[in-house]
Amino acid sequence: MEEKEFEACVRQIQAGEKDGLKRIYQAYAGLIYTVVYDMVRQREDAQDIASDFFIRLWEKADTYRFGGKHRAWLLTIARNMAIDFLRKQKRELPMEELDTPKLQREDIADEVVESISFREAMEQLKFNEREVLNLKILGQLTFREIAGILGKPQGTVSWLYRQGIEKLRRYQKNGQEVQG
Amino acid sequence: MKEFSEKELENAYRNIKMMEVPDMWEEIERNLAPKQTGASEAEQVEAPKAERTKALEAEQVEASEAERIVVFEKKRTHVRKYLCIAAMALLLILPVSYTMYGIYGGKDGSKSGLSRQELYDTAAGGENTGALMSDEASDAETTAESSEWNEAGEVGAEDLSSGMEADTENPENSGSAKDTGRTDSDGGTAGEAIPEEAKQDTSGEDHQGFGEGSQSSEKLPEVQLEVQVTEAWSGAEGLWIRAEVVKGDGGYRIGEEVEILYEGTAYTEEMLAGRRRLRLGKEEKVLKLLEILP
Repeated sequence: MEEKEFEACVRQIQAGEKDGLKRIYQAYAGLIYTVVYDMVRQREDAQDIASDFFIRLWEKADTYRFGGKHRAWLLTIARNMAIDFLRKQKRELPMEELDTPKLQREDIADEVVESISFREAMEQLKFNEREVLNLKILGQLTFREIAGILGKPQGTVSWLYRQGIEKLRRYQKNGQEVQG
Repeated sequence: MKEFSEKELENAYRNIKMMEVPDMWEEIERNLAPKQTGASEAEQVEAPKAERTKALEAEQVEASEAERIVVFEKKRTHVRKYLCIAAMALLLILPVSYTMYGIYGGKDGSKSGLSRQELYDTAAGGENTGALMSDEASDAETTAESSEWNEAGEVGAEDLSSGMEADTENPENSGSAKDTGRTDSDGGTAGEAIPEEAKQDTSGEDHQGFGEGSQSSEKLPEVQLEVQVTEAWSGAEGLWIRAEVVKGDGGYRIGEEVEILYEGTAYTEEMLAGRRRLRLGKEEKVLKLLEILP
């Protein structure tokens, strides 16, 4: 969705027209749900948070500052809602678990990639890699925008993206089924 | 086997991810609170232009409100100046009035036919002072919804203009206002109360978040924190930020959740997202964002 179209939808929401919200939902529900699910790892929770996101968007559309980058704004809010949810549940963010040396599965992932489906290969990505791929591929954000959202250096974001794509390519090179 | 390009891998990734998304629209629509736009949903659909006009008008009203508040802030600065001058004038005049009271006699004013209250009013230059302050007092009354204004300006203005009991919302000041109108036995108290009013006036709270620099004469105690911003929302006071402390000082523990108020306009929510080093001022247990550090 282009910026102008998004701003038109926001104005509709501010005027109380549900059609504006529905258009934003149709454009971004998948992205928001996916980003949230990769953090909370429970479908029901991800669905609740994503629904809550759009309800809150309806209520807080007045706070949107026109002229900004709407995708980054949406994803920042969605990500923060997921973090707040995890904090309330007193659950750790997935990245903390995957970042510990014992749980790094880089070596194992190389073997696993050869034998499982593309979908499962995606699941084997590290949380950081998956997060960056979601924001880059689904969110269509630049590395700079992603770095701003995640609070990481741009170089790190770009490196994580390369790592993730390389893992998926290694799977594909070994001749496994690629859906889509 | 053909090696997929990066684009093809991205497409495959996207397709698989999007297949897993449930339909949430019905649940969302059920929970949407009706917006108060003064028209039914059917009317809104029929007249979208009218609603957009209303939104634009609301924005204009907000802008004019912001301008009015800026003007009010400027006027308040002038009022404080006038109050100080008036307070000093009263301090000078009061001893004179008592001297005159001694010359002209007791309560019934037998020698000159003037009552004591009339003497007091004349000596205090009550009418003149009232004329000087009337404009500022009326301005104060029109903006009485601001509690900051109620605490300082309104009380001082009414005190000096009438010398009578001030009808003020602030109980702390109402006693002093009454003192001002009392008999000579309380003259000393009234005299002392007024400088405190003036002081309270000049050391009032910060202005409500317009412009980058604070106009308060006090410097806020500062603290620097590195935080992970988790949420940002707009409130009446400005932009509120909820964040978790990542590196701190000033007694803030790592992992502690803080709420920070940003009253300026230079920083947007996007600029405040993620991990940030912030220079904060602490004012009455409220953390206020002064600057985003590199």
